Amino acid sequence: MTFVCKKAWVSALVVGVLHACATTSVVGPSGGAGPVASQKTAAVGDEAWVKKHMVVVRSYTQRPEFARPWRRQKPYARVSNALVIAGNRLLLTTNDAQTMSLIEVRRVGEQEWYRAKLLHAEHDLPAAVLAVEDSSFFGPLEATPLDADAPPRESDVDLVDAVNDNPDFGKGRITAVENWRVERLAVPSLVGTTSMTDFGDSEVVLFNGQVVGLSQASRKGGFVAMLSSVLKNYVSQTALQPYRGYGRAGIRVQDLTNPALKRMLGLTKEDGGIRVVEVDPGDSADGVLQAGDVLLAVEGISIDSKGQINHPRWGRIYFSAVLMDNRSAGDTVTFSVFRNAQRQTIKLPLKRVPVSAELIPSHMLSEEPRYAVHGGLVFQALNQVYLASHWASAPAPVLNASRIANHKTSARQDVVVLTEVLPDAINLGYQDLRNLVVERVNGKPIAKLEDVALALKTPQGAYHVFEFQLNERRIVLDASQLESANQRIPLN
Amino acid sequence: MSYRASANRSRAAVQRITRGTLPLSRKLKNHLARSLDLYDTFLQLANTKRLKKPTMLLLAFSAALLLGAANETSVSDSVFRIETVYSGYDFTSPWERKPPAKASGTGFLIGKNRILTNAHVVADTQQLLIKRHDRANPAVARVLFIGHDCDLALLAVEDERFLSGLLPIDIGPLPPLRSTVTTLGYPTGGEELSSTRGVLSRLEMRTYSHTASDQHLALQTDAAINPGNSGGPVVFNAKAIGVAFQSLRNADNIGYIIPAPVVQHFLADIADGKYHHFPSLGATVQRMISPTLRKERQLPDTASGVYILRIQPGSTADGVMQPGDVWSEIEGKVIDNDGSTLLGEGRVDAEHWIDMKQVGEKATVKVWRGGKLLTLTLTAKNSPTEERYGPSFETPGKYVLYAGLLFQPLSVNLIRDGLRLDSVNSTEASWQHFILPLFDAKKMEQEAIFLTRILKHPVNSQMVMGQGEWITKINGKPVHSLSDVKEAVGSCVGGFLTLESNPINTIDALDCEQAKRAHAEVLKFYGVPNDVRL
Repeated sequence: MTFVCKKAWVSALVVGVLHACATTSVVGPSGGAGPVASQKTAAVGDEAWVKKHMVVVRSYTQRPEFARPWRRQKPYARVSNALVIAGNRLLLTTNDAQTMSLIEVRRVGEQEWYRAKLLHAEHDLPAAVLAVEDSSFFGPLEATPLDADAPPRESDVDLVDAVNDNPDFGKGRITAVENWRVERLAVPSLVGTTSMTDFGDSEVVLFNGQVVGLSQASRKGGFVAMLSSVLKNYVSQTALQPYRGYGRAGIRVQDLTNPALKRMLGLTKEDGGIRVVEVDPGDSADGVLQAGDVLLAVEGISIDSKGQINHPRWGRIYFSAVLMDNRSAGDTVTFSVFRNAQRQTIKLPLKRVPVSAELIPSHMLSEEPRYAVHGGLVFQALNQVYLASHWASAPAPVLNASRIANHKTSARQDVVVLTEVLPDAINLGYQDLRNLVVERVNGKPIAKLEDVALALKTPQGAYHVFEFQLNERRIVLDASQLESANQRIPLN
Repeated sequence: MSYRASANRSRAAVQRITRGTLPLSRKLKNHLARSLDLYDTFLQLANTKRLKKPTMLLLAFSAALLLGAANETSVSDSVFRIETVYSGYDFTSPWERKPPAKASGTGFLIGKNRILTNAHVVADTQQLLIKRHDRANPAVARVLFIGHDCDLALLAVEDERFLSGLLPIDIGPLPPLRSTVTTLGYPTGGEELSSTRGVLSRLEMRTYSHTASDQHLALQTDAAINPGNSGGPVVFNAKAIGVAFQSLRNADNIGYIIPAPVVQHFLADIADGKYHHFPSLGATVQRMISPTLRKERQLPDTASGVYILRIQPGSTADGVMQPGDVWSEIEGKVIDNDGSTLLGEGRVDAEHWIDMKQVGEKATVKVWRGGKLLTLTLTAKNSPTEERYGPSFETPGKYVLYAGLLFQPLSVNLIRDGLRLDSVNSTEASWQHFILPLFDAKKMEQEAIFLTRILKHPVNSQMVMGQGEWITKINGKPVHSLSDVKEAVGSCVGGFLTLESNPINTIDALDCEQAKRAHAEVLKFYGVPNDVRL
């Protein structure tokens, strides 16, 4: 089993994703690379090549403070590599592109910074494309081809980090192409070992002088790099209107290694396959696949009883890699499915689930936390970042919603949580309360954050009454005081 | 010279003696030290009665000295070292016990062949020995009654002659807070009887760590309470005012004592020859510090109480109190807005008054409901959840083992013994946060059946399910108890035994023919004597 869990800063704290890596996983798709080109472009230690194809990016990022969502964290600077691509653009792997408040770039070995701007960002990979305002920046630079596919296992590769005054050249060895878990998708990635440290800032991976990947994460004694083919597919997608993004199957599956179980299901000993145990509502497989379906093959490649396939270019890898292989949302993946004792072919159209369709949104870096303060009571639409970093002991219904049923319904479009009480005379007696899921306000069910303000228009008699999930607490405020309290309570 | 100065001088003199500057026998020094407590009491008495003559104080002091010496002898003789070899059931291999281990604690005579100690000292015991401090030979003892929820147990020795010449220690009334008390016992660091002194500092409801789920009144003292002290008497005026039982880690000298009222409750409970446990209210309450909440609940300005949020089905409060009520009085005691009531000089949680009832006894409460003050009568009951899911001792775990698959109902013991749940976090906290809320009121009598272990055999070694799966259905039928499992595996003759789990609906299967053959092999290979205990 080579399916790997990435722990990005956001997902690291997400509490115990169920079977996240193995028997149950969310399966996703991708976009494609063109034909494999084979022009030699760089030699090891070739500083001239580095100066032509790589640049240095310096960005300042300000993340929201999720506990006090009206505030921002202190800005921090990050320095990264980027690759020069066609159309006077720069490509890099980053998961916080959209919170960058200032982006500057310089050429390798030079000191002059140029102002850059974000053209496009994709959190699901994650990757971003930049442009530079002053086009003279690109004068001596040259676009880098991204045509090379993954090198074979055990290949030796060269690694280049150009952020220092003198570029660092290092050696690495490819272990495999593995599905690397990024927040919502598993992205087929180049995984290898190296003695170089601190990867994750778009260091370039070269094989036979061609760019085969851009590093996007560091792991003990090694690196993880986004495949050139995946990057190329992304770059070509950024030109499409509208942008399509990536889709995942949106299913949870179980292994079928047990021969008795296979016989019970009516499969033969020779059959592999994995069984769908759940279909996420609103995701690609909704209405296409069913719980109980056994996925026997994808695009004609048999899936074994642990979900592995023999990919023609990437070798042994989890079957969901096919969904990211030169595909994007809108494309179709063909499965051969065993359903009701019948073998049939089912075409799965890949759908991109926007973050906005998630009940508890996964990556909040691109969006501001939503909140409302009434009488010092801070209500937030719950997101995964808050859940992970400020609510370790969230109750079962919340955790289940975040892991198993993370989709909006008409009855619940936000999980509205009282996250804090800003002390004021109006809320005396409630000031220690936090992390309670709002069920009703003034008797009205709360389906989304905005419903709180609406419900406050009709107090119950002289009072505003807040009720919470599992009947954990009851808050009653003096309705006549609310307006003046709202004016005097500072947000700080 | 004021009487106070004179008294302090006398006290200092005694302290010099006890600290060993004079060549007195150890026993006499001990007696002198013990008498200091009584001296303090006399001093307090003298204060309040405004006695001013130092001679009176000296007289009192002498009397105290003699009385203290006499009492000390009889009290300490009746304090025993208890040595246990214990072996609890291993819930992860429910047909086995854990390897035996040794521990020691303290106990003391409270009546004719009645020795009081902590439940945790004698829990899961296989051999119990009692030692007098003045004799080498121990006596064999047995447990008469054990109350795990209040961490108390009553023992008897097999041969009563062992106790000859000993006087029982009376369970005394609680002295006022700030009194100095003495803890007697056999803590680590030596063999002999030890005594430590401390001040009673607080009296409030605390969690008793033996079960970690029960709360009763507890006294706090700064007397050192160390491992081995457990079960020892805390003495004031030659009476046991409580039983030393636990201390706070990561703090200095915060020791806890089971106070006399809890001890007396336990003794009264078992008077009929059976232990019925402490009752509980079964309501979740919210403090009413908010004046707006009090107004909204239509409480008069002078009234107070706590808001009833939820009521556990089948509990004391069920059917009498209602969510939305404001509980304002218990047995004539006014409940303040933080849920406390007056007890002596201090305040204690209102639940204490329910706790002090015996199961079946009535309690009168007052609640505000719809602007009216109602007087209601509760009948004290045990907590229905605790009965099913609380920790158990001396009782082997229930299980069904079939073809290497071990099915067990979820319990605190199982989690304490190291069950790992693949599907959920496996700490006790997560059990409370995770599993309990998934049972609604109507399902309280049901068991949550887990596949807790797979004893590997070719029939099951390739199974998809791992240990810790929550089994919800077998052969398509819902599983609500271990009996359902037994029935299902019993009917596995041809075809397959199909398992379904929660919360991800994984399925798995065994071939019944193969399973039947494998079953006996598994029992033999792993040395399991029985395949079922319901």
